[in-house]
Amino acid sequence: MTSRRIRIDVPALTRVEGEGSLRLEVRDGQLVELGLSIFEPPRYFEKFLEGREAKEVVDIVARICGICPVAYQMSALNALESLSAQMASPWVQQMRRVFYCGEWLQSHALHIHLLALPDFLGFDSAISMAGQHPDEVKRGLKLQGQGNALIRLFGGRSVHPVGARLGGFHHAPAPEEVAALVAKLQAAQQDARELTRFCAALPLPDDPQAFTCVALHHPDRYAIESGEIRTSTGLSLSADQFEQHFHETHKPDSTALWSDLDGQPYLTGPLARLNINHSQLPDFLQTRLSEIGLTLPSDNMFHSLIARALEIELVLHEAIRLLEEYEYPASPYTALSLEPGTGCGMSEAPRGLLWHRYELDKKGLIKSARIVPPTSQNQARIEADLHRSLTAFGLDHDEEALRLRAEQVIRNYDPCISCATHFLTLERVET
Amino acid sequence: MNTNLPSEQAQLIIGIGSPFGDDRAGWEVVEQLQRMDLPPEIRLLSLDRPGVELIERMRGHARVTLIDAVHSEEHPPGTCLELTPEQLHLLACTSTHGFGLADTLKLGQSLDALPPSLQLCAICISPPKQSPAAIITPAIQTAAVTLARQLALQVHPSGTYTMEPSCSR
Repeated sequence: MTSRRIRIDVPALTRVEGEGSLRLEVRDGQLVELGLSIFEPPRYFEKFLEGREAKEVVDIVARICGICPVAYQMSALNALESLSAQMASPWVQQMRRVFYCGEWLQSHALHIHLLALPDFLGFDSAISMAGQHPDEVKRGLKLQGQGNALIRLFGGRSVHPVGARLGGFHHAPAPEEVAALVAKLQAAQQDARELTRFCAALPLPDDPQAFTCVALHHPDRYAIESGEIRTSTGLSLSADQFEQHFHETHKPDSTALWSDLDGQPYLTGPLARLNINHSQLPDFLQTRLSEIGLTLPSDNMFHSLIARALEIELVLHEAIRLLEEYEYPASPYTALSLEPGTGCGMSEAPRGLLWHRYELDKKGLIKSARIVPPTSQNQARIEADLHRSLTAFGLDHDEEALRLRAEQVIRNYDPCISCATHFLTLERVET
Repeated sequence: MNTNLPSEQAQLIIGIGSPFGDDRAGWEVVEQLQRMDLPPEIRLLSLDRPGVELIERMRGHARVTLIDAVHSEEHPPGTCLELTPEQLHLLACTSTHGFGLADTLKLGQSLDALPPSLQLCAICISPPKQSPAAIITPAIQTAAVTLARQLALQVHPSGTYTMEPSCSR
């Protein structure tokens, strides 16, 4: 009898940063063990927030992630502002969407060009790919740069931005600054068009599988900064109802919590969003879908790459549309008073649903906090996908081929672990 | 600072770091330089772990100086080093993201996208403890002041900046 034990180490993962590994054991051509482990050190952010004033939360949660700080800020603000009888102004709501567009743009551009493309073009890293595909890498850097510029416009800086506050922003950008950036975003649209066509032309594996999609849905627009939960199983939930259906559990192998939807794994992220909200894409993207021959909803997880490219086109379009009508506001924020109680809020981080809950006491201090990030929500789905995809791929493949396919499957979810481009090492044991 | 000057005529000095402890060494150098009366063609920038965006931020500048903190077991904390990109790769940068400074510069080299003149200055710091200090330690603060004065004299030799012992190359 031959058994293989394949160990895959992930040296840079977690909700934010950290480490993880994948264990595979194959006996008689059957996958008998598969474990996705995350061993990130606990980060205690929820505990750090206890006793803090509500106004401090937005700056503290911005430091949870270097790639998607805007998502943490917007989900926190949605949760806390639900405790106010007043609302942020329409200007603030629109500019929060623009701010968030910047994050999707930079995160998706980084993921596609520097993390995912080397897999599909046959390189072990973006650095080795850059020599033969410099134009693709430069396009990625340019698009990412425009996304960061959008974040800086409102956030002051692109990493851990500091511009957001309860009720709005500390500062409104000058109209001439906005106009200069709009011109650059318009120039980037050609790159984005080419990117979608490029991604659609890649030889992506054809790997259909059944999975449940979870995404925010907004009645008026493709949900980014706000909305209610929709699932492909037919649920429609407010932020307050999240905990009735979504549960987190500890697993021995993982310091990150695992999430389930009524006991089942589910997908959150670009493909889930596109599957649920594709009818709200603007006309030019409906045309693009026909042009590239992508039928939605898609049951091929590898279409996540194309979904990110389409969302890059979408957010460029949205940011330009909203900023072309930009008017300098009388005030960049509304002074909100918050009532004691529990507030829940959520938004769509680049890699999926990000839900927050805060309990505010009578003194206006945070009594408890709970944050459910997308990477932990996708963990069970990643493991189910690995099981199914590797079996369908063929467990008789050599270690290198299995490792590459496992990496591709994991990267489809854009977890924070894929910060490191060559993160899986295989150890094969034959008995 | 004259922000209207074309980028290709300006020299850019970038401090890389994060707000806390000795990792802010690069920022401290830039803050020191901001207090000096430097010529208008010198642009100063502090970046919080920019990753690959650094390539875009350097684009168009003929001369760029980067300052970052590095962990080194060979040099005591506070040692200033001037490095090549290859030497940088051998040291552990403090970036906690996948694309640290060394990888970013390697990518920039592959793309032929680095500035014609690139100077790398490193300030050696101790490896992070479990609870890193919130403020910069005196040895690193002193090193940052020294390096700032050196850089000021380098870009503006006729300036009257007090000189401390020189950094190693």
